[in-house]
Amino acid sequence: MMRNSLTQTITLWMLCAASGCGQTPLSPEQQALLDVKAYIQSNLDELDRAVTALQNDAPVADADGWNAKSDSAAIAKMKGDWKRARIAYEHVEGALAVLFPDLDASTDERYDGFISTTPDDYLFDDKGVTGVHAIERILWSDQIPAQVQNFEMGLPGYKAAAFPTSEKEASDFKNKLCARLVSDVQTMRSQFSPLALDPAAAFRGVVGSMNEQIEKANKAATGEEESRYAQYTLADMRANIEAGEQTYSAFRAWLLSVGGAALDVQISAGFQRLKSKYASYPGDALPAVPATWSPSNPSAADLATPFGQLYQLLMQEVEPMRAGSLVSAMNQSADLLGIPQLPQ
Amino acid sequence: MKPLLLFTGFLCAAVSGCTEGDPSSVFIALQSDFATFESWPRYFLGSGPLEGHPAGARYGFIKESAPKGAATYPVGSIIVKTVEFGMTKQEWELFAMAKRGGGFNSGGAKDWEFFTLRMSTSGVPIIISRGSNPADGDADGGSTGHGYSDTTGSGVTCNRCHGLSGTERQDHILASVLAPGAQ
Repeated sequence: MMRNSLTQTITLWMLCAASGCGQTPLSPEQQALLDVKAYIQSNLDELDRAVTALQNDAPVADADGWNAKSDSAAIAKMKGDWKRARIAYEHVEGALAVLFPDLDASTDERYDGFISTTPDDYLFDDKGVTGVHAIERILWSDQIPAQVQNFEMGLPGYKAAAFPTSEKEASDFKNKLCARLVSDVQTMRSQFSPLALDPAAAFRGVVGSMNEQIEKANKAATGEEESRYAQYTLADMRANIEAGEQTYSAFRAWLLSVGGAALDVQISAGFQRLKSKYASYPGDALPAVPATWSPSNPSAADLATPFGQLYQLLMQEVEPMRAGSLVSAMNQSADLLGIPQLPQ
Repeated sequence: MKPLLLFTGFLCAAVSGCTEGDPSSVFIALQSDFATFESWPRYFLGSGPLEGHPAGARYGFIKESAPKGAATYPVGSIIVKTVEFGMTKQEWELFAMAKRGGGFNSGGAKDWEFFTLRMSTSGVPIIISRGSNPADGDADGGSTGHGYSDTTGSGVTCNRCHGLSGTERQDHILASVLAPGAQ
């Protein structure tokens, strides 16, 4: 199942290099694909380690499940594991969600997304509501912000989040819910390993990272924030921008080799604008969304708030038709590299 | 030469995913896999109304036929369906199925992954969405939203027809002319 001529070229080059014949350098395109592949693979490795640690660190089941007092050390450890997993996943989601759409859903779907089709009355098993946010919802169940609770309580099929309160629930959390996440991650990791990316798939990680951020901002504005229980969505977005920048850096030499120096400056500046804005906010949570926020027509006063400023900058940077925006420069780069673009 | 041959085999598996003979092998189609579909063998499928698809002449393109008499397509097979209408290829509706394997889509057309595609202005087929239930017009290829399910806006999903009980007899291919081993 030799994928394409590029794969054959890379394979032949590697064989040639290994067997001692001439040292033909990789083209900028070949190097970009290998670098993106290595970046995704290393993050999948870290994701695997983090979710495996999360499962291993779940307390041993006892008759009354867990509680925040006597299991505080284990819960704190699991929260640390969860944050590691979250960063690793957000580094690669832009690329992986395209290749593994179903596993992306079971790994990263939000609670409201799961129950919009099928309610789930038992939150500790490996069916229905699963993945990182299902685990987050349990780990932070005693700290869920009021606005999140209010949003979810209005959903048909809502079931309140809670720590495990019985031996069975604690056992199922560890051996079913966490085990499912480990299994899904390991499936992605093992199936990604032999895959030779093409330029379109690799470049999706650049543009995909921007889509991830805009989705998070939009969802936050309607009370559906992504890492809403841990209040970790800004950290997710920082990871998205890191991923975009890292993935783009793999394409940089290729872009420069085809006369894209001016676009490179625009792209670097765009990443810097977003990184600076994100760095200006303390902590890992998005700034509070103003109570009067209207996503379709935000008022000047709301746009002047910290959330409004972040939202406004992000909207400007993802606007493909706006001269000088980050996504506009990314799209022009794709054209210059001969990477087919999605139809407008 | 023996170590080099061993190394060659390792590289083949590591770089290209060539795992012939391995029943658990998985094929993850990329955009480049669809690039030449118009050069594949083409079959007229009709032009009458068909649930879940817009009106227009429909054609099927098979990347590689299954062996004569085979009951299923092998992992790695791709079938593209075009609904051809309008003045330009950019207006065509493009759908595809790729045999992914590994138990993918086990609740529907088992082992098949569905795609919606669209022709770019330069005539290159672009993946718009993919999965067991790809979305219609999900321009980031499914990276957000996680699993919507209607490819045409008509309420009809790919699995609703291709995943029906009994369709496994033709490996979930509904058009007899495209059935495995029929070419």
